[in-house]
Amino acid sequence: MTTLAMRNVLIYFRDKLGVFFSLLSVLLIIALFVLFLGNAFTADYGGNIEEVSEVINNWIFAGILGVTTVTTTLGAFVVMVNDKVHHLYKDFYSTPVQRYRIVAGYALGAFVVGTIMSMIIFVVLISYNAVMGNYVMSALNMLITTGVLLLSVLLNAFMIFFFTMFIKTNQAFGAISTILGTLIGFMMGIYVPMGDLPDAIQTLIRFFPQSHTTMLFRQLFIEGIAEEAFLHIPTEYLQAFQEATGVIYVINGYELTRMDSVLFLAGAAIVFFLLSVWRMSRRYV
Amino acid sequence: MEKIIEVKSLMKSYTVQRKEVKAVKGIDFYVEKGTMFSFLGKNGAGKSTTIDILCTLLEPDAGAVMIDGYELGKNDFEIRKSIGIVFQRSLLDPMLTVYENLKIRGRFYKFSRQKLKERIEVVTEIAQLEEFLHRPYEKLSGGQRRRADIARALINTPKILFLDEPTTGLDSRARKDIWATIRALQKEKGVTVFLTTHYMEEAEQSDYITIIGHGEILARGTPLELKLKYCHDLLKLAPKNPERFKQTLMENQIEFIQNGEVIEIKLDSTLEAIPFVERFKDDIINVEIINGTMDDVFLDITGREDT
Repeated sequence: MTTLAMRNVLIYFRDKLGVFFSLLSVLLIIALFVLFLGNAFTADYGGNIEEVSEVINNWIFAGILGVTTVTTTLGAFVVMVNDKVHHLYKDFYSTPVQRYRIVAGYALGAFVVGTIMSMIIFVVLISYNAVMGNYVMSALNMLITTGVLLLSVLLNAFMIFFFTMFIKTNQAFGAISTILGTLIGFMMGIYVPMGDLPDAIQTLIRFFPQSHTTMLFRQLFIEGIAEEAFLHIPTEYLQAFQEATGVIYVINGYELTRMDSVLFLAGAAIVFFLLSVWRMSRRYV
Repeated sequence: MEKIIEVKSLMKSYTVQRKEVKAVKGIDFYVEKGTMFSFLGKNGAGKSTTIDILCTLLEPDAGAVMIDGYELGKNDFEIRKSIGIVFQRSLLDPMLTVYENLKIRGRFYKFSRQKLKERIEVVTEIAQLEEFLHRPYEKLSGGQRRRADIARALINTPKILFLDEPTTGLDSRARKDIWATIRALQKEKGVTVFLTTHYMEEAEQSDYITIIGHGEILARGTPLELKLKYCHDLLKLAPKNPERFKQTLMENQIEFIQNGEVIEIKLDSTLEAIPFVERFKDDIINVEIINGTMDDVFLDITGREDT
Protein backbone atom coordinates (compact mmCIF):
# COMPACT_ATOMS: atom_id res chain seq x y z
CA MET A 1 0.00 0.00 0.00
CA THR A 2 2.73 2.45 0.97
CA THR A 3 4.80 1.40 -2.05
CA LEU A 4 2.05 2.28 -4.47
CA ALA A 5 1.21 5.45 -2.53
CA MET A 6 4.85 6.55 -2.75
CA ARG A 7 4.91 5.80 -6.45
CA ASN A 8 1.73 7.82 -7.00
CA VAL A 9 3.11 10.80 -5.10
CA LEU A 10 6.35 10.55 -7.09
CA ILE A 11 4.49 10.44 -10.40
CA TYR A 12 2.23 13.33 -9.41
CA PHE A 13 5.13 15.61 -8.51
CA ARG A 14 7.26 14.45 -11.46
CA ASP A 15 4.81 16.25 -13.74
CA LYS A 16 6.18 19.62 -12.66
CA LEU A 17 4.17 21.63 -15.14
CA GLY A 18 0.96 19.97 -13.97
CA VAL A 19 1.77 20.75 -10.34
CA PHE A 20 2.68 24.31 -11.23
CA PHE A 21 -0.58 24.93 -13.04
CA SER A 22 -2.76 23.41 -10.37
CA LEU A 23 -1.07 25.70 -7.82
CA LEU A 24 -1.28 28.62 -10.20
CA SER A 25 -5.01 28.21 -10.66
CA VAL A 26 -5.52 28.54 -6.91
CA LEU A 27 -3.11 31.48 -6.69
CA LEU A 28 -4.98 33.20 -9.52
CA ILE A 29 -8.24 32.91 -7.60
CA ILE A 30 -6.52 34.37 -4.54
CA ALA A 31 -5.14 37.26 -6.61
CA LEU A 32 -8.54 37.95 -8.18
CA PHE A 33 -10.23 38.02 -4.80
CA VAL A 34 -7.59 40.19 -3.19
CA LEU A 35 -7.47 42.65 -6.08
CA PHE A 36 -11.12 42.95 -7.08
CA LEU A 37 -13.79 40.90 -5.40
CA GLY A 38 -12.66 41.66 -1.86
CA ASN A 39 -13.28 45.35 -2.43
CA ALA A 40 -16.73 44.65 -3.77
CA PHE A 41 -17.59 42.65 -0.66
CA THR A 42 -16.14 45.29 1.62
CA ALA A 43 -18.24 47.96 -0.03
CA ASP A 44 -21.32 45.79 0.49
CA TYR A 45 -20.73 45.05 4.09
CA GLY A 46 -19.20 47.76 6.08
CA GLY A 47 -17.90 50.83 4.35
CA ASN A 48 -14.20 51.46 4.45
CA ILE A 49 -13.17 50.30 7.86
CA GLU A 50 -9.77 48.67 7.56
CA GLU A 51 -10.53 45.86 9.99
CA VAL A 52 -13.65 44.89 8.07
CA SER A 53 -11.62 44.67 4.89
CA GLU A 54 -9.16 42.38 6.66
CA VAL A 55 -11.93 40.20 7.99
CA ILE A 56 -13.35 39.83 4.52
CA ASN A 57 -9.97 38.99 3.00
CA ASN A 58 -9.48 36.28 5.58
CA TRP A 59 -13.02 35.07 5.11
CA ILE A 60 -12.21 34.62 1.43
CA PHE A 61 -8.88 32.95 2.20
CA ALA A 62 -10.66 30.40 4.37
CA GLY A 63 -13.02 29.56 1.54
CA ILE A 64 -10.19 29.21 -0.96
CA LEU A 65 -8.24 26.93 1.36
CA GLY A 66 -11.36 24.80 1.86
CA VAL A 67 -11.86 24.42 -1.89
CA THR A 68 -8.15 23.68 -2.34
CA THR A 69 -8.35 20.64 -0.06
CA VAL A 70 -10.93 19.21 -2.46
CA THR A 71 -9.48 20.17 -5.84
CA THR A 72 -5.89 19.15 -5.10
CA THR A 73 -6.95 15.78 -3.67
CA LEU A 74 -9.14 15.26 -6.72
CA GLY A 75 -6.21 16.09 -8.98
CA ALA A 76 -4.12 13.36 -7.37
CA PHE A 77 -6.58 10.70 -8.54
CA VAL A 78 -5.50 11.30 -12.13
CA VAL A 79 -2.84 8.65 -11.47
CA MET A 80 -5.48 6.08 -10.52
CA VAL A 81 -7.60 6.76 -13.59
CA ASN A 82 -4.57 6.66 -15.87
CA ASP A 83 -3.48 3.33 -14.44
CA LYS A 84 -6.94 1.98 -15.10
CA VAL A 85 -7.12 3.36 -18.64
CA HIS A 86 -3.66 2.07 -19.59
CA HIS A 87 -4.09 -1.22 -17.69
CA LEU A 88 -1.04 -0.48 -15.57
CA TYR A 89 -2.76 -2.12 -12.63
CA LYS A 90 -2.16 -5.47 -14.33
CA ASP A 91 1.50 -5.26 -13.42
CA PHE A 92 0.66 -4.60 -9.75
CA TYR A 93 -1.94 -7.36 -9.70
CA SER A 94 0.63 -9.85 -10.95
CA THR A 95 2.62 -9.38 -7.75
CA PRO A 96 2.02 -11.22 -4.47
CA VAL A 97 0.23 -8.30 -2.80
CA GLN A 98 -3.49 -8.35 -1.95
CA ARG A 99 -5.42 -6.29 -4.45
CA TYR A 100 -7.31 -4.25 -1.89
CA ARG A 101 -3.96 -3.12 -0.51
CA ILE A 102 -2.85 -2.00 -3.93
CA VAL A 103 -6.07 -0.11 -4.53
CA ALA A 104 -5.95 1.47 -1.09
CA GLY A 105 -2.53 2.86 -2.07
CA TYR A 106 -4.32 5.27 -4.41
CA ALA A 107 -6.32 6.75 -1.53
CA LEU A 108 -3.20 7.08 0.61
CA GLY A 109 -1.24 8.65 -2.25
CA ALA A 110 -4.02 11.17 -2.89
CA PHE A 111 -4.11 11.98 0.82
CA VAL A 112 -0.40 12.77 0.79
CA VAL A 113 -0.62 14.86 -2.39
CA GLY A 114 -3.72 16.72 -1.17
CA THR A 115 -2.03 17.47 2.15
CA ILE A 116 1.18 18.76 0.58
CA MET A 117 -0.61 20.94 -1.97
CA SER A 118 -3.12 22.33 0.55
CA MET A 119 -0.33 23.07 3.02
CA ILE A 120 1.53 25.01 0.32
CA ILE A 121 -1.56 27.16 -0.26
CA PHE A 122 -2.03 27.59 3.51
CA VAL A 123 1.56 28.81 3.83
CA VAL A 124 1.06 31.20 0.90
CA LEU A 125 -2.06 32.68 2.54
CA ILE A 126 -0.38 33.13 5.92
CA SER A 127 2.69 34.62 4.23
CA TYR A 128 0.51 37.09 2.35
CA ASN A 129 -0.97 38.32 5.62
CA ALA A 130 2.48 38.53 7.21
CA VAL A 131 4.02 40.39 4.27
CA MET A 132 1.12 42.84 4.00
CA GLY A 133 1.35 43.57 7.71
CA ASN A 134 -2.11 42.13 8.31
CA TYR A 135 -3.14 40.16 11.34
CA VAL A 136 -1.55 36.71 11.35
CA MET A 137 -3.43 33.94 13.13
CA SER A 138 -2.02 32.60 16.37
CA ALA A 139 0.32 29.62 16.39
CA LEU A 140 -2.35 27.58 18.12
CA ASN A 141 -4.87 28.40 15.40
CA MET A 142 -2.34 27.45 12.74
CA LEU A 143 -2.01 24.08 14.42
CA ILE A 144 -5.77 23.63 14.62
CA THR A 145 -6.13 24.73 10.98
CA THR A 146 -3.56 22.11 10.00
CA GLY A 147 -5.54 19.52 11.92
CA VAL A 148 -8.79 20.47 10.19
CA LEU A 149 -6.94 20.49 6.87
CA LEU A 150 -5.68 16.93 7.44
CA LEU A 151 -9.13 15.72 8.41
CA SER A 152 -10.67 17.42 5.41
CA VAL A 153 -8.14 15.98 2.95
CA LEU A 154 -8.72 12.56 4.51
CA LEU A 155 -12.47 12.85 3.96
CA ASN A 156 -11.90 14.07 0.39
CA ALA A 157 -9.48 11.24 -0.33
CA PHE A 158 -11.98 8.59 0.80
CA MET A 159 -14.93 10.25 -0.90
CA ILE A 160 -13.25 10.85 -4.26
CA PHE A 161 -11.60 7.42 -4.06
CA PHE A 162 -15.01 5.83 -3.67
CA PHE A 163 -16.41 7.58 -6.73
CA THR A 164 -13.23 7.12 -8.80
CA MET A 165 -13.55 3.35 -8.43
CA PHE A 166 -16.60 3.57 -10.72
CA ILE A 167 -14.80 5.62 -13.36
CA LYS A 168 -13.26 3.84 -16.30
CA THR A 169 -12.14 6.54 -18.72
CA ASN A 170 -10.14 9.76 -18.70
CA GLN A 171 -13.05 11.58 -20.29
CA ALA A 172 -15.41 10.59 -17.49
CA PHE A 173 -12.86 11.68 -14.90
CA GLY A 174 -12.29 14.97 -16.72
CA ALA A 175 -16.03 15.63 -16.84
CA ILE A 176 -16.45 14.88 -13.15
CA SER A 177 -13.45 17.05 -12.27
CA THR A 178 -14.95 19.97 -14.16
CA ILE A 179 -18.37 19.54 -12.58
CA LEU A 180 -16.94 19.12 -9.10
CA GLY A 181 -14.52 22.01 -9.57
CA THR A 182 -17.40 24.26 -10.52
CA LEU A 183 -19.88 23.06 -7.93
CA ILE A 184 -17.51 22.76 -5.01
CA GLY A 185 -17.00 26.50 -4.57
CA PHE A 186 -20.74 26.88 -4.51
CA MET A 187 -21.33 23.90 -2.19
CA MET A 188 -18.79 25.35 0.21
CA GLY A 189 -20.43 28.73 0.00
CA ILE A 190 -17.33 30.65 -1.04
CA TYR A 191 -18.51 32.60 -4.08
CA VAL A 192 -21.55 34.13 -2.51
CA PRO A 193 -22.26 34.61 1.20
CA MET A 194 -24.71 31.92 2.26
CA GLY A 195 -27.27 34.41 3.46
CA ASP A 196 -27.88 35.51 -0.13
CA LEU A 197 -28.99 32.02 -1.13
CA PRO A 198 -32.46 30.46 -0.78
CA ASP A 199 -33.12 28.65 2.51
CA ALA A 200 -33.30 25.20 0.90
CA ILE A 201 -29.85 25.64 -0.66
CA GLN A 202 -28.46 26.93 2.63
CA THR A 203 -29.68 23.79 4.39
CA LEU A 204 -28.19 21.65 1.62
CA ILE A 205 -24.82 23.36 2.06
CA ARG A 206 -24.91 22.87 5.84
CA PHE A 207 -25.37 19.13 5.34
CA PHE A 208 -22.55 18.91 2.80
CA PRO A 209 -19.66 17.66 4.96
CA GLN A 210 -16.90 19.56 3.16
CA SER A 211 -18.63 22.90 3.79
CA HIS A 212 -17.81 22.44 7.46
CA THR A 213 -14.14 22.61 6.54
CA THR A 214 -14.68 26.10 5.16
CA MET A 215 -16.75 27.09 8.18
CA LEU A 216 -14.04 25.97 10.58
CA PHE A 217 -11.34 27.67 8.50
CA ARG A 218 -13.36 30.91 8.57
CA GLN A 219 -13.60 30.86 12.35
CA LEU A 220 -9.88 30.17 12.61
CA PHE A 221 -8.87 32.77 10.04
CA ILE A 222 -10.90 35.67 11.40
CA GLU A 223 -10.54 34.95 15.09
CA GLY A 224 -8.60 37.79 16.64
CA ILE A 225 -9.60 40.43 14.11
CA ALA A 226 -13.34 40.00 14.07
CA GLU A 227 -13.67 41.18 17.69
CA GLU A 228 -12.07 44.49 16.82
CA ALA A 229 -13.81 44.94 13.52
CA PHE A 230 -17.24 44.31 14.95
CA LEU A 231 -16.67 46.01 18.27
CA HIS A 232 -19.55 48.42 17.90
CA ILE A 233 -22.02 46.02 16.42
CA PRO A 234 -24.80 44.63 18.66
CA THR A 235 -24.44 40.91 19.53
CA GLU A 236 -27.67 39.72 17.94
CA TYR A 237 -26.81 41.54 14.75
CA LEU A 238 -23.33 40.02 14.81
CA GLN A 239 -24.75 36.49 15.13
CA ALA A 240 -27.05 37.09 12.17
CA PHE A 241 -24.10 38.41 10.21
CA GLN A 242 -21.92 35.41 11.09
CA GLU A 243 -24.72 33.08 10.15
CA ALA A 244 -25.28 34.81 6.82
CA THR A 245 -21.58 34.62 5.97
CA GLY A 246 -21.29 30.99 7.00
CA VAL A 247 -18.92 31.60 9.88
CA ILE A 248 -21.31 29.75 12.16
CA TYR A 249 -23.97 27.21 11.32
CA VAL A 250 -27.28 27.34 13.14
CA ILE A 251 -29.53 24.33 12.65
CA ASN A 252 -33.03 24.52 14.18
CA GLY A 253 -31.86 27.22 16.58
CA TYR A 254 -28.81 25.23 17.69
CA GLU A 255 -25.41 26.78 16.97
CA LEU A 256 -22.92 24.09 16.01
CA THR A 257 -19.72 24.02 18.05
CA ARG A 258 -16.33 23.43 16.47
CA MET A 259 -16.30 19.94 17.93
CA ASP A 260 -19.66 19.22 16.26
CA SER A 261 -18.23 20.11 12.88
CA VAL A 262 -15.03 18.14 13.47
CA LEU A 263 -17.10 15.11 14.44
CA PHE A 264 -19.28 15.59 11.37
CA LEU A 265 -16.18 15.66 9.13
CA ALA A 266 -14.73 12.61 10.86
CA GLY A 267 -18.07 10.79 10.64
CA ALA A 268 -18.34 11.52 6.92
CA ALA A 269 -14.75 10.31 6.47
CA ILE A 270 -15.62 7.05 8.23
CA VAL A 271 -18.76 6.60 6.11
CA PHE A 272 -16.81 6.98 2.86
CA PHE A 273 -14.02 4.80 4.21
CA LEU A 274 -16.55 2.02 4.87
CA LEU A 275 -18.21 2.54 1.48
CA SER A 276 -14.80 2.25 -0.16
CA VAL A 277 -14.00 -0.92 1.79
CA TRP A 278 -17.35 -2.35 0.75
CA ARG A 279 -16.71 -1.49 -2.88
CA MET A 280 -13.18 -2.90 -2.77
CA SER A 281 -14.34 -6.14 -1.17
CA ARG A 282 -16.73 -6.64 -4.06
CA ARG A 283 -14.30 -5.90 -6.84
CA TYR A 284 -10.71 -6.20 -5.65
CA VAL A 285 -10.26 -9.45 -3.74
CA MET B 1 10.66 -34.27 -17.83
CA GLU B 2 8.90 -32.24 -15.21
CA LYS B 3 5.80 -30.33 -16.24
CA ILE B 4 6.04 -26.79 -14.86
CA ILE B 5 2.76 -25.65 -16.43
CA GLU B 6 -0.15 -27.99 -16.96
CA VAL B 7 -3.45 -26.80 -18.41
CA LYS B 8 -6.56 -28.94 -18.64
CA SER B 9 -9.85 -28.09 -20.39
CA LEU B 10 -9.34 -24.37 -19.97
CA MET B 11 -12.34 -22.28 -20.95
CA LYS B 12 -13.07 -18.57 -20.96
CA SER B 13 -15.88 -16.53 -22.48
CA TYR B 14 -16.51 -12.81 -22.55
CA THR B 15 -19.63 -10.86 -23.04
CA VAL B 16 -19.08 -8.27 -25.72
CA GLN B 17 -22.07 -6.08 -26.45
CA ARG B 18 -24.42 -8.66 -24.92
CA LYS B 19 -23.02 -11.39 -27.14
CA GLU B 20 -21.07 -14.25 -25.70
CA VAL B 21 -17.65 -14.62 -27.25
CA LYS B 22 -15.80 -17.83 -26.51
CA ALA B 23 -12.17 -16.74 -26.34
CA VAL B 24 -10.75 -20.06 -25.17
CA LYS B 25 -12.71 -23.24 -25.87
CA GLY B 26 -11.39 -25.95 -23.57
CA ILE B 27 -7.71 -26.27 -24.38
CA ASP B 28 -5.15 -28.69 -22.93
CA PHE B 29 -1.40 -28.36 -23.00
CA TYR B 30 1.65 -28.55 -20.81
CA VAL B 31 5.07 -26.93 -20.69
CA GLU B 32 8.18 -28.79 -19.65
CA LYS B 33 10.51 -27.22 -17.17
CA GLY B 34 13.44 -25.29 -18.58
CA THR B 35 12.14 -25.26 -22.14
CA MET B 36 11.11 -22.49 -24.45
CA PHE B 37 7.45 -22.83 -25.33
CA SER B 38 5.82 -20.84 -28.11
CA PHE B 39 2.17 -20.10 -28.24
CA LEU B 40 1.46 -19.15 -31.78
CA GLY B 41 -1.66 -17.66 -33.27
CA LYS B 42 -3.15 -14.76 -35.14
CA ASN B 43 -4.51 -11.73 -33.35
CA GLY B 44 -7.67 -12.64 -31.50
CA ALA B 45 -6.83 -16.34 -31.41
CA GLY B 46 -6.98 -16.47 -27.60
CA LYS B 47 -3.27 -16.07 -26.82
CA SER B 48 -3.52 -13.05 -24.55
CA THR B 49 -6.57 -14.43 -22.76
CA THR B 50 -4.69 -17.64 -22.00
CA ILE B 51 -1.62 -15.76 -20.81
CA ASP B 52 -3.75 -13.51 -18.59
CA ILE B 53 -5.33 -16.59 -17.02
CA LEU B 54 -1.98 -18.29 -16.42
CA CYS B 55 -0.67 -15.07 -14.83
CA THR B 56 -3.58 -15.03 -12.34
CA LEU B 57 -4.97 -11.83 -13.88
CA LEU B 58 -8.11 -13.37 -15.27
CA GLU B 59 -10.33 -16.05 -13.79
CA PRO B 60 -11.11 -18.96 -16.11
CA ASP B 61 -14.70 -20.18 -16.51
CA ALA B 62 -13.64 -23.81 -16.33
CA GLY B 63 -10.56 -25.98 -16.33
CA ALA B 64 -7.60 -26.73 -14.12
CA VAL B 65 -4.19 -25.10 -14.22
CA MET B 66 -1.09 -26.12 -12.26
CA ILE B 67 1.88 -23.78 -12.29
CA ASP B 68 5.14 -24.71 -10.60
CA GLY B 69 3.22 -27.19 -8.44
CA TYR B 70 0.58 -24.69 -7.32
CA GLU B 71 -3.05 -24.77 -8.26
CA LEU B 72 -4.35 -21.69 -10.04
CA GLY B 73 -7.22 -20.12 -8.13
CA LYS B 74 -6.05 -21.55 -4.81
CA ASN B 75 -2.40 -20.61 -4.51
CA ASP B 76 -2.29 -17.54 -6.70
CA PHE B 77 0.14 -15.81 -4.35
CA GLU B 78 2.69 -18.60 -4.69
CA ILE B 79 2.22 -18.57 -8.45
CA ARG B 80 2.77 -14.82 -8.59
CA LYS B 81 6.04 -15.28 -6.74
CA SER B 82 7.31 -17.75 -9.34
CA ILE B 83 6.35 -15.92 -12.50
CA GLY B 84 7.55 -12.85 -14.35
CA ILE B 85 5.57 -11.22 -17.13
CA VAL B 86 6.54 -9.07 -20.07
CA PHE B 87 3.25 -7.62 -21.17
CA GLN B 88 2.40 -6.94 -24.76
CA ARG B 89 1.91 -3.27 -24.01
CA SER B 90 4.50 -2.03 -21.61
CA LEU B 91 3.21 -1.26 -18.13
CA LEU B 92 6.07 0.72 -16.63
CA ASP B 93 5.68 4.35 -15.60
CA PRO B 94 6.79 6.60 -18.47
CA MET B 95 7.82 9.57 -16.36
CA LEU B 96 9.96 7.60 -13.93
CA THR B 97 13.46 6.39 -14.68
CA VAL B 98 14.17 2.74 -15.35
CA TYR B 99 15.84 2.48 -11.95
CA GLU B 100 12.85 4.02 -10.14
CA ASN B 101 10.53 1.69 -11.98
CA LEU B 102 12.55 -1.37 -11.01
CA LYS B 103 12.81 -0.24 -7.41
CA ILE B 104 9.08 0.41 -7.06
CA ARG B 105 8.00 -2.80 -8.79
CA GLY B 106 10.59 -4.74 -6.81
CA ARG B 107 9.14 -3.50 -3.54
CA PHE B 108 5.92 -5.35 -4.25
CA TYR B 109 7.83 -8.58 -3.67
CA LYS B 110 8.79 -7.55 -0.14
CA PHE B 111 12.53 -7.98 -0.45
CA SER B 112 14.85 -6.51 2.13
CA ARG B 113 16.50 -3.27 1.10
CA GLN B 114 19.79 -5.06 0.51
CA LYS B 115 18.21 -7.89 -1.48
CA LEU B 116 16.29 -5.45 -3.67
CA LYS B 117 19.50 -3.60 -4.45
CA GLU B 118 21.14 -6.87 -5.42
CA ARG B 119 18.23 -7.88 -7.60
CA ILE B 120 18.27 -4.54 -9.44
CA GLU B 121 22.00 -5.00 -10.08
CA VAL B 122 21.48 -8.52 -11.39
CA VAL B 123 18.63 -7.67 -13.75
CA THR B 124 20.41 -4.53 -14.94
CA GLU B 125 23.26 -6.74 -16.06
CA ILE B 126 21.11 -9.45 -17.62
CA ALA B 127 19.07 -6.98 -19.66
CA GLN B 128 22.04 -4.63 -20.23
CA LEU B 129 20.42 -1.50 -18.87
CA GLU B 130 23.52 0.32 -17.53
CA GLU B 131 23.53 2.83 -20.36
CA PHE B 132 20.01 4.14 -19.71
CA LEU B 133 19.27 3.02 -16.16
CA HIS B 134 18.71 6.57 -14.94
CA ARG B 135 16.84 7.85 -17.94
CA PRO B 136 13.04 8.27 -17.88
CA TYR B 137 11.31 5.30 -19.45
CA GLU B 138 9.43 7.49 -21.95
CA LYS B 139 12.72 8.73 -23.41
CA LEU B 140 13.92 5.24 -24.35
CA SER B 141 13.87 3.58 -27.77
CA GLY B 142 11.56 0.65 -28.41
CA GLY B 143 14.32 -1.90 -27.91
CA GLN B 144 15.56 -0.26 -24.70
CA ARG B 145 12.01 -0.23 -23.34
CA ARG B 146 11.61 -3.90 -24.02
CA ARG B 147 14.87 -4.61 -22.20
CA ALA B 148 13.61 -2.60 -19.24
CA ASP B 149 10.36 -4.58 -19.36
CA ILE B 150 12.31 -7.83 -19.27
CA ALA B 151 14.39 -6.58 -16.35
CA ARG B 152 11.17 -5.74 -14.53
CA ALA B 153 9.81 -9.24 -15.19
CA LEU B 154 13.01 -10.78 -13.81
CA ILE B 155 13.14 -8.73 -10.62
CA ASN B 156 11.63 -11.52 -8.49
CA THR B 157 13.86 -14.29 -9.94
CA PRO B 158 10.94 -16.03 -11.64
CA LYS B 159 11.05 -19.69 -12.62
CA ILE B 160 8.73 -19.00 -15.51
CA LEU B 161 8.96 -15.98 -17.76
CA PHE B 162 5.86 -15.09 -19.76
CA LEU B 163 6.38 -12.88 -22.77
CA ASP B 164 3.36 -11.66 -24.69
CA GLU B 165 4.59 -10.77 -28.18
CA PRO B 166 7.92 -9.48 -26.93
CA THR B 167 9.26 -8.35 -30.29
CA THR B 168 6.19 -6.80 -31.89
CA GLY B 169 6.96 -3.35 -33.19
CA LEU B 170 10.73 -3.61 -32.84
CA ASP B 171 13.28 -3.20 -35.62
CA SER B 172 15.22 -6.27 -36.65
CA ARG B 173 18.34 -5.32 -34.70
CA ALA B 174 16.43 -4.81 -31.45
CA ARG B 175 14.50 -7.99 -32.10
CA LYS B 176 17.74 -9.95 -32.35
CA ASP B 177 19.02 -8.41 -29.10
CA ILE B 178 15.85 -9.30 -27.26
CA TRP B 179 15.98 -12.82 -28.58
CA ALA B 180 19.57 -13.27 -27.51
CA THR B 181 18.62 -12.15 -23.99
CA ILE B 182 15.62 -14.49 -23.82
CA ARG B 183 17.62 -17.45 -25.11
CA ALA B 184 20.44 -16.81 -22.67
CA LEU B 185 17.94 -16.77 -19.82
CA GLN B 186 16.55 -20.10 -20.85
CA LYS B 187 19.85 -21.82 -21.62
CA GLU B 188 22.02 -20.36 -18.87
CA LYS B 189 19.64 -19.63 -16.02
CA GLY B 190 17.23 -22.47 -16.69
CA VAL B 191 14.22 -20.17 -16.82
CA THR B 192 11.17 -21.68 -18.47
CA VAL B 193 10.07 -19.33 -21.23
CA PHE B 194 6.45 -19.12 -22.34
CA LEU B 195 6.01 -16.76 -25.21
CA THR B 196 3.29 -15.79 -27.58
CA THR B 197 4.08 -14.52 -31.01
CA HIS B 198 2.68 -14.28 -34.45
CA TYR B 199 6.08 -14.55 -36.08
CA MET B 200 6.66 -18.10 -37.17
CA GLU B 201 10.38 -17.56 -37.64
CA GLU B 202 10.61 -16.76 -33.93
CA ALA B 203 8.52 -19.70 -32.82
CA GLU B 204 10.80 -21.90 -34.89
CA GLN B 205 13.61 -21.23 -32.44
CA SER B 206 11.70 -22.60 -29.48
CA ASP B 207 11.58 -26.17 -28.19
CA TYR B 208 7.89 -26.70 -28.54
CA ILE B 209 5.15 -24.93 -30.46
CA THR B 210 1.44 -24.90 -29.87
CA ILE B 211 -0.65 -23.23 -32.52
CA ILE B 212 -3.95 -21.78 -31.43
CA GLY B 213 -6.78 -20.36 -33.49
CA HIS B 214 -10.27 -19.22 -32.51
CA GLY B 215 -9.75 -20.51 -29.00
CA GLU B 216 -8.78 -24.02 -30.01
CA ILE B 217 -5.49 -25.81 -30.40
CA LEU B 218 -4.87 -26.42 -34.08
CA ALA B 219 -1.49 -28.10 -34.00
CA ARG B 220 1.37 -28.85 -31.66
CA GLY B 221 4.84 -30.31 -31.73
CA THR B 222 8.50 -29.46 -31.95
CA PRO B 223 9.38 -27.19 -34.86
CA LEU B 224 10.77 -30.21 -36.73
CA GLU B 225 7.68 -32.31 -36.12
CA LEU B 226 5.44 -29.54 -37.39
CA LYS B 227 7.62 -29.06 -40.39
CA LEU B 228 7.55 -32.74 -41.25
CA LYS B 229 3.84 -32.94 -40.76
CA TYR B 230 2.64 -29.73 -42.37
CA CYS B 231 5.42 -28.63 -44.64
CA HIS B 232 5.45 -29.45 -48.32
CA ASP B 233 8.26 -28.89 -50.70
CA LEU B 234 7.35 -27.63 -54.09
CA LEU B 235 8.77 -28.87 -57.35
CA LYS B 236 8.56 -26.29 -60.09
CA LEU B 237 8.97 -27.48 -63.64
CA ALA B 238 9.12 -25.69 -66.95
CA PRO B 239 8.06 -28.25 -69.57
CA LYS B 240 9.10 -28.15 -73.24
CA ASN B 241 5.57 -28.74 -74.36
CA PRO B 242 3.12 -27.81 -71.61
CA GLU B 243 0.06 -29.40 -73.16
CA ARG B 244 1.69 -32.74 -73.79
CA PHE B 245 3.36 -32.70 -70.37
CA LYS B 246 0.06 -32.06 -68.62
CA GLN B 247 -1.43 -34.94 -70.54
CA THR B 248 1.38 -37.23 -69.36
CA LEU B 249 0.96 -36.14 -65.74
CA MET B 250 -2.77 -36.78 -65.86
CA GLU B 251 -2.24 -40.18 -67.38
CA ASN B 252 0.11 -41.01 -64.52
CA GLN B 253 -2.38 -39.60 -61.97
CA ILE B 254 0.04 -37.03 -60.61
CA GLU B 255 -1.56 -33.96 -59.02
CA PHE B 256 -0.26 -30.60 -60.17
CA ILE B 257 -1.04 -26.92 -60.34
CA GLN B 258 -0.43 -24.91 -63.47
CA ASN B 259 0.98 -21.49 -62.84
CA GLY B 260 1.44 -19.83 -66.21
CA GLU B 261 4.20 -21.70 -68.01
CA VAL B 262 5.21 -23.44 -64.82
CA ILE B 263 3.85 -26.71 -63.47
CA GLU B 264 3.96 -27.04 -59.67
CA ILE B 265 3.92 -30.37 -57.88
CA LYS B 266 3.66 -30.82 -54.11
CA LEU B 267 6.26 -33.13 -52.60
CA ASP B 268 6.30 -34.73 -49.17
CA SER B 269 10.07 -34.60 -49.12
CA THR B 270 12.76 -32.98 -51.20
CA LEU B 271 14.25 -36.29 -52.21
CA GLU B 272 11.10 -37.36 -54.03
CA ALA B 273 12.08 -34.89 -56.70
CA ILE B 274 15.06 -36.92 -57.88
CA PRO B 275 13.31 -39.96 -59.41
CA PHE B 276 10.64 -37.65 -60.75
CA VAL B 277 13.05 -35.40 -62.56
CA GLU B 278 14.99 -38.47 -63.75
CA ARG B 279 11.80 -39.90 -65.25
CA PHE B 280 10.72 -36.77 -67.10
CA LYS B 281 14.11 -35.22 -67.81
CA ASP B 282 13.55 -35.29 -71.58
CA ASP B 283 10.37 -33.21 -71.33
CA ILE B 284 11.55 -30.37 -69.14
CA ILE B 285 13.72 -27.29 -69.60
CA ASN B 286 14.11 -26.06 -66.06
CA VAL B 287 13.70 -27.44 -62.54
CA GLU B 288 13.38 -25.65 -59.22
CA ILE B 289 12.74 -27.12 -55.77
CA ILE B 290 11.30 -24.81 -53.10
CA ASN B 291 11.76 -25.87 -49.51
CA GLY B 292 8.72 -25.36 -47.33
CA THR B 293 9.19 -22.77 -44.54
CA MET B 294 7.64 -22.50 -41.10
CA ASP B 295 5.66 -19.55 -42.40
CA ASP B 296 3.95 -21.92 -44.80
CA VAL B 297 3.18 -24.21 -41.87
CA PHE B 298 1.60 -21.36 -39.96
CA LEU B 299 -0.38 -20.09 -42.91
CA ASP B 300 -1.38 -23.62 -43.81
CA ILE B 301 -2.69 -24.35 -40.33
CA THR B 302 -4.24 -21.04 -39.36
CA GLY B 303 -5.34 -20.18 -42.88
CA ARG B 304 -7.56 -23.21 -43.12
CA GLU B 305 -9.94 -22.23 -40.38
CA ASP B 306 -10.84 -18.96 -42.02
CA THR B 307 -12.26 -20.58 -45.11
